[in-house]
Amino acid sequence: MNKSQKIKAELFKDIIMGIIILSISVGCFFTYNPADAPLEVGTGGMTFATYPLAVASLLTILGLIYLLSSFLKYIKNSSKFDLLSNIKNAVKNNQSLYFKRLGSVILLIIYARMIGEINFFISSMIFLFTAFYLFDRRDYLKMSVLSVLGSGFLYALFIYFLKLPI
Amino acid sequence: MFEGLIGGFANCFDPINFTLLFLGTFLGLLVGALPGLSSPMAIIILLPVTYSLEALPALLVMIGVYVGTKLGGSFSAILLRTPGTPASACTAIDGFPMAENGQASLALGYATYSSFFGGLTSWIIAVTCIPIISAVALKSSNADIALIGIMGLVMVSAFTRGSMLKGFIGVCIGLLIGSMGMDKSDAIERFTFGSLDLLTGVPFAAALVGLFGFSVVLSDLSLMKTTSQLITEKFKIELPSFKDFCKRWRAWSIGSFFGAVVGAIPGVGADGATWLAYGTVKNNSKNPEKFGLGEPDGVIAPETANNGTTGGAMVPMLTLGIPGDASTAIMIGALYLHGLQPGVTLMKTGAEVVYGMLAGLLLAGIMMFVIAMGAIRFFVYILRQHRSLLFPFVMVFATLGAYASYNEIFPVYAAIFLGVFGFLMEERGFPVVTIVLGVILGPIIEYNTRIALQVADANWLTFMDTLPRIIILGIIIFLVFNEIKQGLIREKLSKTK
Amino acid sequence: MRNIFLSITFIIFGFSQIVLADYPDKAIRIIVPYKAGGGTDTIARGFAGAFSKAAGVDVVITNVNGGAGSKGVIQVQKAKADGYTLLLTGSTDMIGLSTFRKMPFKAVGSLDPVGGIYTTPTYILAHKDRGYTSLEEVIKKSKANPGKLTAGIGGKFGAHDVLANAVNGYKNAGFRIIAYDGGASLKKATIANEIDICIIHSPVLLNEVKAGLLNVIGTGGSLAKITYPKIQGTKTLREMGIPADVGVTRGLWAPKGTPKDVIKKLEKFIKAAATSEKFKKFGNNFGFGPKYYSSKAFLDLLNLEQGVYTDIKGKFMSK
Repeated sequence: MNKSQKIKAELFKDIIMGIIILSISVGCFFTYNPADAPLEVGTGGMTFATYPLAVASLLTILGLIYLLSSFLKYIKNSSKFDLLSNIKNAVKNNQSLYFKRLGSVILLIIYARMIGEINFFISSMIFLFTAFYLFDRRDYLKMSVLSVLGSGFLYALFIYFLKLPI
Repeated sequence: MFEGLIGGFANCFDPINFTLLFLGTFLGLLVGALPGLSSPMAIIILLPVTYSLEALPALLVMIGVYVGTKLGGSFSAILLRTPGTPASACTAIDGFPMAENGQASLALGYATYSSFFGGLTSWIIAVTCIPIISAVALKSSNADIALIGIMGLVMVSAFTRGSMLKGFIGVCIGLLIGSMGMDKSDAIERFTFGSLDLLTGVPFAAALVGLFGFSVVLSDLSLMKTTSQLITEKFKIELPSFKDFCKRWRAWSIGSFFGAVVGAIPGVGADGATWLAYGTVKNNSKNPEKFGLGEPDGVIAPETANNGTTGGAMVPMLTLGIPGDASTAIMIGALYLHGLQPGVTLMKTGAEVVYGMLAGLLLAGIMMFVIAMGAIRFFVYILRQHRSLLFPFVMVFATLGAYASYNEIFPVYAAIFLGVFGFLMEERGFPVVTIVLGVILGPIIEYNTRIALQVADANWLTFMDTLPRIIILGIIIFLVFNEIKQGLIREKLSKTK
Repeated sequence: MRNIFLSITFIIFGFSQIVLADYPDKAIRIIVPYKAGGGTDTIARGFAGAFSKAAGVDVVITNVNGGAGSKGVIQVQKAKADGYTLLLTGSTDMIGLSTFRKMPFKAVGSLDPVGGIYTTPTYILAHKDRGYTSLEEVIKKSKANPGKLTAGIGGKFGAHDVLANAVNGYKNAGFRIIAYDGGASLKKATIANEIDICIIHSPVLLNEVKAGLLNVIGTGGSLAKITYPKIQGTKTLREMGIPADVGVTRGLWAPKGTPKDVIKKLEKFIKAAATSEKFKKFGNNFGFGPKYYSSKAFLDLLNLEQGVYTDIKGKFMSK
């Protein structure tokens, strides 16, 4: 991929981000009042909705500027851009990295779910060991020792000392 | 006053008091360095332990923790870009790049010097100008706080490298995140999506730990193969000399100024002072483009401001019974529990304890300096470990820090979500720091603006009612024009490239 | 066959007695739904020491603040009903969460009250520079300039809100009610003379009253027991013709479904702690001697206060 193609790929990602930002800002106008409270509540010239909607409006404007400028730059860029082959290439080149990132997030979610259900010492041990493995460590003895010692330290600090109700 | 202080110092040198103060400072440094754990949390844990102590020793422990966490939070901000406390978030902007450049010990050293210096100057100002500080605390009202908050926000482009547009988008997103939950004035839910967990919004510690901690881990995973250590091989423990520190007088004098002035204003405190100090130092620096890449002034300014708020926060607590921040609020509760009555008469009825606390504040600063300087080697050693060893621990600490904010699991999920979101935004060039700025300052600005308007009966001219407000407004307008000018210059430069 | 059946029954019965007889055998957690350092939190911590002694186990206070006290309540609702997690908050704070707006969760009725420990009326203060000596004087001034005088309260939903609305409603006073985000902010605004009157739970700011900085101009309930004799005779709302008693009683709640003997034991501990010398000493330092309510008396109090609130809400706060 030459430089211009790389730039085009980046611009495509910018456009996606722009769309995300706009969806957030426009979405605010639909979700700012989930309890259907009447807007007159509040005194002093501002209601509970004034501030968030003002910020959402500003974000919409800024988001539009960002999206449009990225879009214009994208169109001006003369290289070809094939989404599917780009994704295939990116995954091929960065497989390990993407796997690590996704794995970290999933591991964190599982760990969060385990807190409170499984004994903290055990869940932390499993988390640490799995994370070490995920990050390409294969020195199993060191990993095990650190997992156990680390969980012990965490237990002492958070359960015993800080008395968290886990 | 003077005799009172001498008596206070004498009390502090009592072996038990001295030891307790030392232990508190040590604990504060340690707890502050753990990502996600804050000073109020540490003090609350120690409260039951202090019940069996007399009033002064109990409060000395708390003061030690208070002072210690202010620096400790910066250690994790510099080494892991996961600030221990919100006030340390600003230190991460230049502190973390310094660590990545192999200058971790330098950054930690500057942070320690700055914290000590900030604490010292704020102490001197506090004890010599008690009436002035009390007056500032009392006279500053909601309109002033709102304007100060806006001033901090406007300085946002001080934190953006490159596109000002992206900086402001980040701030807006931060402001929206900060407004989730029941609003402070009417208790009406906003953006809760019908969820009970979101009824009170995204807890602050979760936002901090997610946007800074988790997103750093996700993005730095890409570096795991290329460099085998967080610091390059060529590193050595290089501590700044006293002369080096003195040379950067602009940074620490601006930091102390903001710490002393803003610190006395209850409700803004360290969270506002650090950002204002950083922004001002950057704007007035000879090489502003270096900020954000590892410029020592970018560590000195917020650190000095951070500890510089301690004196300003304690004086209103002792003279008026008004807490400057969450930690001093807990100390007020502790005073009641030990048979004292905080309020306007405490200086008279509890003089011994008051002077002891003031003396303890200074001593704690000195102890913090000594302990921290010695501990830098230890911290840097930890940092030398491979990322694959460090990151799992960072993730666990961040998870538990988020959990501890509300003692429930939801903040952890919020932190993970924000971590992924922050990572994606940073990939597209949006500095996560601006989002954090929005989350910190947003609620302060909204709440204070609304109260100011309610007190003034919807009269917006109240924001120009007093001289300080006019001055702040003037600064804001000046800053806005300055940012636009700088933005245009940057556009021109990037076009000519 | 019958012998075996009887023995098994005895064993199971005996075992369950042993299990139940073991309460409490680990630390009890008390959740305070407000910030550390605030009024309820300070009272809770003052109480914890005495309670721990009575129960014979450690007592851990956890602050879970947010949403005008709702977050802490929700957490206790979700907790296991084994007597190891309790809620400590004000009676009128709980009632407020149920009464004023449709909340996405239930407050009163969702937990079982086990006892009350500290009662304080809500009183009305004014800065000495304002020169007000009585509530009637301020009401008169406010009636002449409706919407001009400000009344600060410490947050929505609580007793402060009710008192303010009762005064506005029954006397047509026309105060502009400003809801601060907590006692600390309200304290600061009062000491700094930013508002005309301050409605706050006694005995907060008592120190400033003693120092002459603030005047007590009215109260929602009798101040006869407060530790400052000068204000013990302050006119109550009822004496001014406003049919409302407003105050707050801090008490403890347990999750629904907590076993009856655990509740019985809890009541015993709470009684011992609330009447202990240690808690009395704390209370007197704070401003009021403690008052103990059994769980039944506390429930009756809650119903009484609920009546007042629903009445005032219906009449003056329909939004």
